[in-house]
Amino acid sequence: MKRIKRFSALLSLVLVLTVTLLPVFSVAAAAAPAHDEHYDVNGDGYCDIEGCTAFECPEHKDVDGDGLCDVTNCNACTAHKDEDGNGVCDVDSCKTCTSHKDADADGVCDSDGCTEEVILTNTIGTPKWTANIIEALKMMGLGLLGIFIVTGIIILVIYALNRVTNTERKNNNN
Amino acid sequence: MTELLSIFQYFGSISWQMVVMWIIGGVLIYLAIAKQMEPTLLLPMGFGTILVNLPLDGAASEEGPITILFNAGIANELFPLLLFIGIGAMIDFEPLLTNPKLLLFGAAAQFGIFITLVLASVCGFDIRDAASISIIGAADGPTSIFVANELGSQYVGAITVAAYSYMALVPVIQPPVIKLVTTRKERLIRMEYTGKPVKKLTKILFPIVVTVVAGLFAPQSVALVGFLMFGNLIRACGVLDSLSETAQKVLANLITILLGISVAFQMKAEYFINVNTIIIIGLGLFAFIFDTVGGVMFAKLINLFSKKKINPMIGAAGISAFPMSSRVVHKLGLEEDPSNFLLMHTVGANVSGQIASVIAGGLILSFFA
Repeated sequence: MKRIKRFSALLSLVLVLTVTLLPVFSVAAAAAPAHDEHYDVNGDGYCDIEGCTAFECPEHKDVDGDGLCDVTNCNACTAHKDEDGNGVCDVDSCKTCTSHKDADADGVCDSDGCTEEVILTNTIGTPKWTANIIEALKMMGLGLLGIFIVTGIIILVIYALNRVTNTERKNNNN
Repeated sequence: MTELLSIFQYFGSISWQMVVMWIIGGVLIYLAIAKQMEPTLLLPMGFGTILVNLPLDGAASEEGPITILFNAGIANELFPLLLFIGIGAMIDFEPLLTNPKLLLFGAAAQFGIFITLVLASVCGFDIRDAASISIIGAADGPTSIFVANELGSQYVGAITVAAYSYMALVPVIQPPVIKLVTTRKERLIRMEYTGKPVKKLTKILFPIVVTVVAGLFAPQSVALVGFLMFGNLIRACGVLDSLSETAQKVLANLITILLGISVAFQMKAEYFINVNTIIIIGLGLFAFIFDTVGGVMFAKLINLFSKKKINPMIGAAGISAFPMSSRVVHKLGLEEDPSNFLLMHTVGANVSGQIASVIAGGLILSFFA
């Protein structure tokens, strides 16, 4: 009876922790940058530039210069884009492939102009650099908290498993 | 005569950067063979480095074999995941299941990942690259490759070299760091091992439950945790001995060969030879050092509130470099007191580090989802 009570108490604790912590993680997830939080208020098929935060998706581009960032670029840009179809990748997308140059000085980086030079994109002292550090500090806090919470729950689950399997063995012996 | 001279035509394509990469490849091969530092990975990587830095990109051209292997297994993260099946089949979680609290040391020993994330940002790396570099602190090659690829980092080559090199250097890195942050009195703390038997059912349910829990809280870690735990389930179930042996030996070795040589695709001179590579290697060392410090400090923190003292060196074994770290810490304990056997505790902490490192990798990925 005592063992059943202890096990019930343990299981209740696990359930309570899960129910309590799920909203915390939902809030954290909601607060975390999401690339699909783009808005198209005027319904013209392009996400509105104001809805695209500069930090979460810094590769927003406005190739056609209409004041709205192009919807295809609202996701994390890890590849070069050629929005205007002129055969060269757009210079803003060179962020993740920094070895491109703009040899013909036309404002877009040349896909043929790849050199070995790699440029650090966040020059020390710029607002982007500061924003990155703040974001990194947030991730550090959330990451350390998250890893301890997840491992804590796994520990409780292991204790519960050990209890259950030991209880079964004792019942079988009886 | 002209025809004779034409056989030397490609010599003009050799650049100094290629020569440097040949030397780096040679060093990796030397470390693998002469010093026996992670030979399973460093030797293929070293040879692959030489291969991809020969004139005119024979092996790493658009349709070259290394490019095909890279796209088939690294670009889509398949090889690291398959290797994780083998790693999962090799690990016995019984010391952890006997003393589940050791999992906390595995968590604490991932501190280096997150502090390196901040430092890499301070150094000017983009946040995605900083996160990819910080995962060197996971002390786990497949996790590092997986996360770096998933985040689209251009430094996969440097990150992989750093991760595997430092994993091999754990016996060199950890002891001085541990001695720096602990006192002799702390290192002499004895810990008794009460090896309670673990039921087979627990060993079978453990990988399933861990996968579900990790998947609920960090969905991006499901691939990593899932494949690791799948390998462990094959081992634990007891009815798939041949599969378990195949996973531990044949699968692990085969994937290691392919992984090592295809990662070399990122070891081309234009990606590798720059100041950032040196910074990344430095940050990798920083991550390992602070993983060790994090684990030890956490153990010392527990000792403040616990009547039964824990030897703080156990915390250092929470790093995921399995089984090297557990042996290093056990050896340190024996050096201080030849009758103090810490091995079962260090192994428990070490295997917990394996789980914690993949969870940390999943959490990092979830921040960019």
